[in-house]
Amino acid sequence: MVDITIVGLGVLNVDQITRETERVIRGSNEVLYVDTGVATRTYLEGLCPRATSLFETSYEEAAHRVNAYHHMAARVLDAAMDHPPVTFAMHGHPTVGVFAPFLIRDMAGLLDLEVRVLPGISAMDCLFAELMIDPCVAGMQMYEATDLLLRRRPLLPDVPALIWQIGCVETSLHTMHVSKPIRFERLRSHLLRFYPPEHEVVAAYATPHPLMPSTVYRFALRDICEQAHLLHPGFTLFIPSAVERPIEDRELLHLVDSVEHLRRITR
Amino acid sequence: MAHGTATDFLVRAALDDAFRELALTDPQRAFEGYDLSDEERDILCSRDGRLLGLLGAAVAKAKTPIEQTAEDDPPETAESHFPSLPEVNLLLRLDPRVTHAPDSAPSVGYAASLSPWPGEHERKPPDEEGREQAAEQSNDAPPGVSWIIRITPTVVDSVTDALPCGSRLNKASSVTAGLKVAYHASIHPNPSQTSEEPPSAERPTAASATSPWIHHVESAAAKAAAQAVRASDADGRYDKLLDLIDALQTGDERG
Ligand SMILES: C[S@@+](CC[C@H](N)C(=O)[O-])C[C@H]1O[C@@H](n2cnc3c(N)ncnc32)[C@H](O)[C@@H]1O
Repeated sequence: MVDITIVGLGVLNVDQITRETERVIRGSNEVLYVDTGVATRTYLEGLCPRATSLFETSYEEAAHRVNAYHHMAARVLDAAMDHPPVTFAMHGHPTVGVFAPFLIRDMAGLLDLEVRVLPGISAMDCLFAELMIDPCVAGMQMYEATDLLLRRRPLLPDVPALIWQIGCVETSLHTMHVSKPIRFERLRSHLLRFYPPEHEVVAAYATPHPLMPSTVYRFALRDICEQAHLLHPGFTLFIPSAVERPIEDRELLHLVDSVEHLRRITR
Repeated sequence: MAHGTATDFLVRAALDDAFRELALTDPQRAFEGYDLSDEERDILCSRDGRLLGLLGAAVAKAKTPIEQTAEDDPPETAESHFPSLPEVNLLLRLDPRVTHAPDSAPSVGYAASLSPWPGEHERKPPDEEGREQAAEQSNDAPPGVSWIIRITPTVVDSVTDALPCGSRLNKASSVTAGLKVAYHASIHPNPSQTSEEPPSAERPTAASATSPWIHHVESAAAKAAAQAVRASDADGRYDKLLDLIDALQTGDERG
């Protein structure tokens, strides 16, 4: 028997919850959740006798975000040992940008509890739809904003990029305070090593409520600091490619349309 | 009598398809039965960015983004006040020169040059760069080598004129007075110099998969902590679980 199912609740509250997730929550003795969607509580209470929000008890102004994840993991394991099965539900997809599921998996392994993870609709999926992005065309590189700067990760200007958590850049502490322009200067300097200053980038916030349209700001990379007051922690930055990489393998280019080649590589 | 709040309105719009449709097509009718302020009605009709504030207020009450007021502002320091200065990247190049004197063995000297490091987008297309390198290497001198010198300036202090004691730094006045800047310099191999593969194809010599979160699941400390969790009663379990997290992160290193 699965003791803990880790699920994502999607981004658009509550329309993006899958039927698979719904079924698991119905079969749980408690659903513990981290999601600030306005209708989440009402919705989950309709599925499960016990719906417990962990958001309010997890995050504290200027405290390490990692402490919040420790609290979530301990609460979920505690519930799973007491009255399994339980569901741990969070915003978006459960393994994107959240540490708690990884901690839960490793703790559960030591406590002989079984864990299963179900996919959810991530902000990435919403942005692919909102901005009409096809990651199969020129690829896609994705980085977490602070990690990008800490490691000075190189970017390929011919591959589109998604930069997560730009609104949280340069700190591992939780805050609800509005950003100042200075917060984005290091990020701008780093990106300017790979893209021209006038390159248009897109900051997008996929809508969390059906009455609200998504928020999309387009601006030249050099102007990112001036957008500071707008870029709350929910934003993701999309950087379209700035150049096209020429095809190098001319031989393969010729072969991809050849029936003869198709016969050679298939049975 | 109207009794629903803005939060009730938003919750219903998220859960009830017919009501959502009404809220989108005929908001005035949807407002019937809800006790909303003029501003809330305006936000719910225009459905602009202010709706996020309404959603935030509905969910977390005090957990909406906080605008800092002047009183909340911590006194600004030079570091928080001035923009970070741009990095300077220079290309240091050494070109060996072989001199053949008639009556002695050939001798090698170096021509050194220092030039600005071109930004990635100013670089030549990969095959153009490759052709140039091939041309350079065709003479009998060994190929030149190059490094990147990176200079990172940091503002460590500001020198301000006549700033009254205890007053906050004001951007315009302090910028005119001057900055004290420290420089950190480092030298790195030039990734685009004559390697067999272009920099984008760089790969480690040995494969070693890395895990995003390293936990010492096999450590004796973690196993003992897990045992303590199992042995604890319901009241003490949460704290024992936090101990387990600690053990998973530190492993046996604490001895
Ligand atoms: C802690 S991560 C959680 C991601 C989430 N698990 C998911 O799958 O989307 C938070 C980051 O996800 C991105 N994100 C979350 N919600 C978003 C939204 N509605 N629109 C755009 N990006 C969003 C932002 O980059 C944000 O800083």
